[in-house]
Amino acid sequence: MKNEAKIFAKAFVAALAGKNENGQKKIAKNFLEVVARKKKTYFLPKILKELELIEKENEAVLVLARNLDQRAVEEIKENLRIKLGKDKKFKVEIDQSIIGGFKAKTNNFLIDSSIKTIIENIRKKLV
Amino acid sequence: MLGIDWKILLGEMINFLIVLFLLKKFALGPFLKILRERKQKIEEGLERSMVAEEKIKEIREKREEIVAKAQQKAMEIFDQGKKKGDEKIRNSILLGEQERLNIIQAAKKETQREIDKMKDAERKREVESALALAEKILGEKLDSQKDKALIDKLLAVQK
Repeated sequence: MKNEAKIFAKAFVAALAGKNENGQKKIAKNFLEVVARKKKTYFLPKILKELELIEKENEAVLVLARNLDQRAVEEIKENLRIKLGKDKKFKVEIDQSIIGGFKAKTNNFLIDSSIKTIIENIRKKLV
Repeated sequence: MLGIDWKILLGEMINFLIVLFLLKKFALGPFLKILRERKQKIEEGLERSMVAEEKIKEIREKREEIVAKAQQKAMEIFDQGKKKGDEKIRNSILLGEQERLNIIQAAKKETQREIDKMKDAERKREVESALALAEKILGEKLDSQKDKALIDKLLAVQK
């Protein structure tokens, strides 16, 4: 039963991918119609929970040392989506202590390519 | 003649002879026997005394011999003790020397360890300084463009 809700949620998210706002609204309407037609409306709270989980799974944080222009940030995000998953939604944070480079964090993965960490690794090897 | 009464004289003579006989029979014999016995005792005593003297002499000689031997033994023991003592002193000196060398060796090692530790600490300080300087320079010199270029390179390395 839980798996069925997950399948619905995943199908819904897959259908939304790459659509604009109107397209997404249309997809949402169609999705609800399908659920109603299949008499699975009692599943909707579980499907919502699954959607929340998928949303959380797709949340990611991109840490930069300084503000970069929007285009540069988007390029970095695109590059990271290739590695971490195309559905990842990045929240950008600025942390000057990392000096340069970047960190990308998801709920179960971390890419740490900050200058701070690179120097720290050199320090560990030499000291 | 001469007023001598030959009868009385004869009687006196007979009396004398009788007394002489009686003396000889009853007094002189035992007296001589006693004298002989005493003489024999004296001779035995003298003999014993000579034997005793001999024995004393012998004992004295033996004692002197024993004392001499004891003295010799004592000297030997003393010499041996002295030798052992000297040997012990020699060994002690050798041991002391060895111990002194060990202490010097240990001190050398400890000093070397300290020097190595100091060198290591110095090297670590130098590395820390260099890295701190690198951090500072990078923090100051990196602008948005350079940072973006660096991020692109880092992303490329990630592939």
